[in-house]
Amino acid sequence: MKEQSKRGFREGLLWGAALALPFALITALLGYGYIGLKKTAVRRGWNLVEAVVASRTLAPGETLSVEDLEVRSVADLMVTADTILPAQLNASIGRRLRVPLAAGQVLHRDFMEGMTSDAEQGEAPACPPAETKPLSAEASKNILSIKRALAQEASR
Amino acid sequence: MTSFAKGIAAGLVVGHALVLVAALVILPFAHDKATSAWNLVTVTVIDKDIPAGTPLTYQLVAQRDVPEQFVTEAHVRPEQTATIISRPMPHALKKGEPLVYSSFALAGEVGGSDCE
Repeated sequence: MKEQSKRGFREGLLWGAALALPFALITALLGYGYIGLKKTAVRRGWNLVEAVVASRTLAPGETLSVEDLEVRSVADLMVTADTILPAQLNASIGRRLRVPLAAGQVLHRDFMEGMTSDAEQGEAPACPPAETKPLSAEASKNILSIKRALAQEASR
Repeated sequence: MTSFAKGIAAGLVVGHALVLVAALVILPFAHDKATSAWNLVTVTVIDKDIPAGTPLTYQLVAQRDVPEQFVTEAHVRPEQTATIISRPMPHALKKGEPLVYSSFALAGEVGGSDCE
């Protein structure tokens, strides 16, 4: 009698758990929908375009290889007329960098030797004002040293 | 109440409790994963179109919020703006474009070649 009662309880337990499955399904659907809405909300207003970016931190003088660059979706405000687009990726391979690049930074034409920007072609960069000294080659090695050099100059 | 009915009641309670616990664990994680890269950070941008060689002034720059996934260490942050003021931009910029430190390495190169 007791054994039969135990078996009945176990069967009921399984049926009860099975009956909770629709609830699990509804909860999963609601959760999925909520996350989808959140995703749409945070992305609203940002138009993404594909551009070529540095896949790692790169120093001036480095010759660009396929491994150094990747195509990534970036916000359109990061893309200018000088930005290297995926179709121009091949033209960038083998070029030497003129400036340091941070990982993920969008590549511009004037950051590479032999690829001047439209702006430079049309209008030569003016000389810096007398009170602004150019950065030394040492200071231009990486982003951090540029920041330091500019900060030192600004504090003077 | 038969033992079968008691079992169903217990199964329903346990099943629903497990679903709720799973939802409470998974949902915040999924939410963070979906939105973390879109947290906004503020960067310094140019406030009007400028030609190459223009020395930067506070009147020429502004701030803009950008999702952090698009911002690198090369971007100039508002608290760093003072470091670039009076530096000449070696290339033209359009309104809204973010300023990057790499450009100022280029300015050094330009200054070092012809402008001494």
